[in-house]
Amino acid sequence: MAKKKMIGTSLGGHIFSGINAFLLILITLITFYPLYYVAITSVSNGMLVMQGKVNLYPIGLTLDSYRSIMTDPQLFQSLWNSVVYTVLGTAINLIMSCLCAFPLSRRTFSGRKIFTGMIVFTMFFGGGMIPLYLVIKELKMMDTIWAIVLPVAINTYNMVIIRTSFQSLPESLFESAQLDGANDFTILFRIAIPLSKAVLATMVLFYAVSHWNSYFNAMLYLDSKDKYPLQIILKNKLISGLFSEEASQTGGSTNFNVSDSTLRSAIIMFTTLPILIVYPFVQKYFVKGVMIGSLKG
Amino acid sequence: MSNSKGSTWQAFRKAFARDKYLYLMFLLPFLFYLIFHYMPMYGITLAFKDYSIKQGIWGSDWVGLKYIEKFIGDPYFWQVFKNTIVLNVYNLLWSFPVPIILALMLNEVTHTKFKKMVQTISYLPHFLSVVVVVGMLNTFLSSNGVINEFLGVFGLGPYRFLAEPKYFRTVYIASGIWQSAGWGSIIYLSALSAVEQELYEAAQIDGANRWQQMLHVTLPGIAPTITIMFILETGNIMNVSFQKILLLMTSSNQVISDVISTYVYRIGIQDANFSYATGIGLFQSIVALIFVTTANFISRRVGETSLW
Amino acid sequence: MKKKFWCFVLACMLLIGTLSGCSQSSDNSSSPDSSVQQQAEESKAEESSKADSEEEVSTTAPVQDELVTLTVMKEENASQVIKTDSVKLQYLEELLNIHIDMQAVPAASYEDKKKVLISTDQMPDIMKISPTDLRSYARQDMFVNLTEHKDMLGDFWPIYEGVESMAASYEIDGNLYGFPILSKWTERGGQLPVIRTDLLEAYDLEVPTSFAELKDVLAVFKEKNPDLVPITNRKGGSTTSTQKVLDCMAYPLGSGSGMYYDEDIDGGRWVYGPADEHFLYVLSYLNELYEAGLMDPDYATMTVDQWKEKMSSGQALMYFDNAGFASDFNVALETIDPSYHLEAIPTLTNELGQTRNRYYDQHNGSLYVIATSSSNQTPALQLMNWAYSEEGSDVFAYGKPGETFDYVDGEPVIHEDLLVKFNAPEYNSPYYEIQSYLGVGLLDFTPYVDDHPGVQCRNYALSDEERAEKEAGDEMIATDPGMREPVYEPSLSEEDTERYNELKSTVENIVSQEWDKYIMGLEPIENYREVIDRARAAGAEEMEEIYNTAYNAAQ
Repeated sequence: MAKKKMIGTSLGGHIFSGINAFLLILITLITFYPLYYVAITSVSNGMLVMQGKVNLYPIGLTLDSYRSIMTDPQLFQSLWNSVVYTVLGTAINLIMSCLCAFPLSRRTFSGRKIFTGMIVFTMFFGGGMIPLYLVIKELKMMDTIWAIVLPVAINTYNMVIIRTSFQSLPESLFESAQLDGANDFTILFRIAIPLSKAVLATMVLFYAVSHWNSYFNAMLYLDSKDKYPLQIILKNKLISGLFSEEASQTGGSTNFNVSDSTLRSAIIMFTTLPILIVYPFVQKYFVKGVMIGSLKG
Repeated sequence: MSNSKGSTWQAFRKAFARDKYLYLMFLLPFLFYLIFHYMPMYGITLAFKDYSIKQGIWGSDWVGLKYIEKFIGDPYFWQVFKNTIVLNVYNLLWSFPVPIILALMLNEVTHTKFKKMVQTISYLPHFLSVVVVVGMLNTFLSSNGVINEFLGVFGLGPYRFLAEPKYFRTVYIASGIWQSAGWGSIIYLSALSAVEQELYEAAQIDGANRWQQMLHVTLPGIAPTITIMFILETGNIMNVSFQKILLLMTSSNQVISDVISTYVYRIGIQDANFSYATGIGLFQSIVALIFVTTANFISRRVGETSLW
Repeated sequence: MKKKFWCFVLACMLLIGTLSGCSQSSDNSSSPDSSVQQQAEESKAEESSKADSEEEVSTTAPVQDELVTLTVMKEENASQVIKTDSVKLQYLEELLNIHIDMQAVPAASYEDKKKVLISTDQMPDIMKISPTDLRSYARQDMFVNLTEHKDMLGDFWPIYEGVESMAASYEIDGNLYGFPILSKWTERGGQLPVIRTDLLEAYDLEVPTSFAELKDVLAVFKEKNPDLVPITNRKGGSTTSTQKVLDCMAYPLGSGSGMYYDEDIDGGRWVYGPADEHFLYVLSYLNELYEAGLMDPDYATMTVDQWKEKMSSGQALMYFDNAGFASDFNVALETIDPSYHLEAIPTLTNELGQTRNRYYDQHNGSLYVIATSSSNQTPALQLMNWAYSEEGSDVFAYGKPGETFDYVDGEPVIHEDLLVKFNAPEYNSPYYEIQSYLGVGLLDFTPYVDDHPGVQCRNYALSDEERAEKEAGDEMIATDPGMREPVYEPSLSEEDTERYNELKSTVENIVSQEWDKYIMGLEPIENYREVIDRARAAGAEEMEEIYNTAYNAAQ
């Protein structure tokens, strides 16, 4: 598809940029509208949403659906729990993944192949839910924070990405550091990690979001309501509309200022907002990374 | 004999002395994999046993290949097996390149604010739960939905996008791209940030235009990441978004939409037959492993990068 | 650098700490704990035999000498929060010296958690399960056998035996392993035709009494409102929309959507509907509706949200489903036009001349079981038994006597200030809020359900006129001669259960893919006979035989 440059570089460059920008705007619109829709329905009157009248802007402006989430006595406790699980979990993830990825990225590390093979094997084969549950029980981790953060301490997928990034660093850097008497820990923390900031920032995002959104392990390993993360509390409100056959049979009439769909929208906004707030701080690492790339080496 | 043995031992000791910090580093991850991945692995034996709760996994009776034979002999299993593979191969072909293209497009944007905005918005759908996405699909694709009304202007349709089997894969894959392309591009963007700026300067001096720079500098720069991602993706050949399929499945499109995981869910989990479910899970793992090994092998032969 | 290093050291210590902790514990528990369990069970058995000899048939509250803690696990529905300190739970502790540790698992995840806890033998003392679970696990000695403790269950047993043919369905090899959730008083409900009666009046139409008349009525609706959908439907909780349509309409139309009991075939027998001749009537009627544009063009892909949207905005004019929803939709419809009104109508006569439909099972169909691994089996049995007694069931339904309710002429009456309180505008749903506060109702831990408080609270704010109308509607459903009682599935032997499940999944896969082709008219109805033949050959016949043999043996 290599089109020969018949046009001058600057004109061609402009056309190129123009088409590119146009396509990106199109993509943005397509992805934005559904989210915008979620946002406006979350602050609209439930009944009007149900009747399909809310399409372009909020109608019957109300914060009732947010209020209805806020009334949950468990909400703030679970919000705090989620923050703790996410921060601690991500910290452990990052340390463990780097500790795992670095040795595996070194060509000189004997046993590298065996260990890599052993780890990749776990991506496909696992014992399943029952034995893992029993192991965690034996470890006395049931109903503790450790059951949430330790069994997922390394995501092999993410670890492999970090390893690839370490591998792409020039070997000469390490060799010269070794000549200066640095050991492998020093090399990892002073050279490899600082040079892989962009990838690690991405991993922070990936890990943090997966902790923030996860609920299955918490549901399985936690018994006390006061330890539940936010997602468990909200997930129940989110899905219940679809699965509450039992509630529907008893048929207690409800007030329509808050409908299933406005409540759902409010929940999505509520859970996504923290990520939206944190994201720009992480984003700068890999957007700026492009520009400071030349400073490396 | 003893000589060679001794030298191997010596070589090992030498290697260990050299790598002692690396081993120390690897100790914790090693323990992690041992405890949380290898210790529970005895559960695989369930595929060959009749699980009895009070006797535990070890104490349950062996039944040999009873459960393996059960699904291998079931023609409906092969129908869902085919559905799974076909859906995922299409998914790989269509969904894999999109985040790369998006990342490359974003990389060409010089206006930082615009770039940030596009990026932020494009990754947002990732946070929507499947329930919500399917809810939107239902609204947009219904017989009086936006899409059909739009097509109606040209005298087309209405199409039964959700009811007819032939549209199922398109709907599933397209909505998947919509939801995860932005998020997927993050990994490539971060890889792009590591491409040396001097290479662009050198290319510019050689008179390469933007398109050529992208082709000859940017793409090779992120090729290792692309390769690794591709190999990892082939490992997902047997995985599908279970909840999404379950929500999109109707009795009218079941012919195409029923996949292994929904099948296992119906017969295995709902009837609490863990042995059967484990058997099918084992089969899926083996198929996935074959795919990954093949992809890894090819990649190692053709290029330099490989998973192991 | 230093900071990072210390972080690392800290992480190491953490991990090593937990690991060493576990290795110890695994040593302890590696010894088979069955002996300990057995001992516990033996001592329990002694205690219990002591207990009955002392108390005979217990009609008094089972007060414990020492505080006993029982863990109870059930699912929590988002509509009604399960409070761990509800009036009822506090009172139980005060009265019986039994502390109930409520583990309310979000309903959306209950199925998974329940299965894992049972499969790993880690059950709580008392747990809510489905009849399917009962049949899968009871034979594995997971649940306490109640038949062996019959003498302790003087309050429960007569009530249980009073429910006709329930024993034949729930007893496994002659033993009962769980306390079925029974109904002391609940409103009757069912899946009925619910139609816009204001339109019937407006177009001067009679209320249809048969499916044929219904079709004509819907045709008029369509003619007058070409943009609206005459009849719509929803998706089921875990089934497809087509399946839901059939679940609601197949029986009234003369067949059934799965294995069902048909009183009108051979004097009554179990039939697998989709593999039976009569199913053609169902498909052809739905096909007629579809071809005439009367059925929702999206019927096969409807969701709950879309259904609600259509019904409450007046876009759809009728549904055939839970009659209770009508009152919710009417609230919404009245805001568009006060005359809009949905109402359930009596059972329709089908082409075969049958007028038939089914009530919902008045008894919930789920059970509470006591774990064989529990160390508190006796108090658990006593508590459960008491929940079915006069005194106990009132506490489980109304809360604390003197505080939330009083006896007036021997009948429990809920305090009026509570009814007032929960009808205040800040409460979204009076029905669920009062139940949540008291800790009662089907959606809380209640084995013997009495719905009075919730219903009274819901109806409290209604005007006399509205209440009269509501009562007339309930009366219509309760007295409709076409409505029949549900029939309990027979209990199958272990072998039969396995065989049946195997056949069922094969046969279901054959038939369910076909339905829409016939409803949408892509295949002539007559060709469905070939599907029936295939399904019968693949096992539908044997499935019916298994059911009928077991059913007849139990009768």
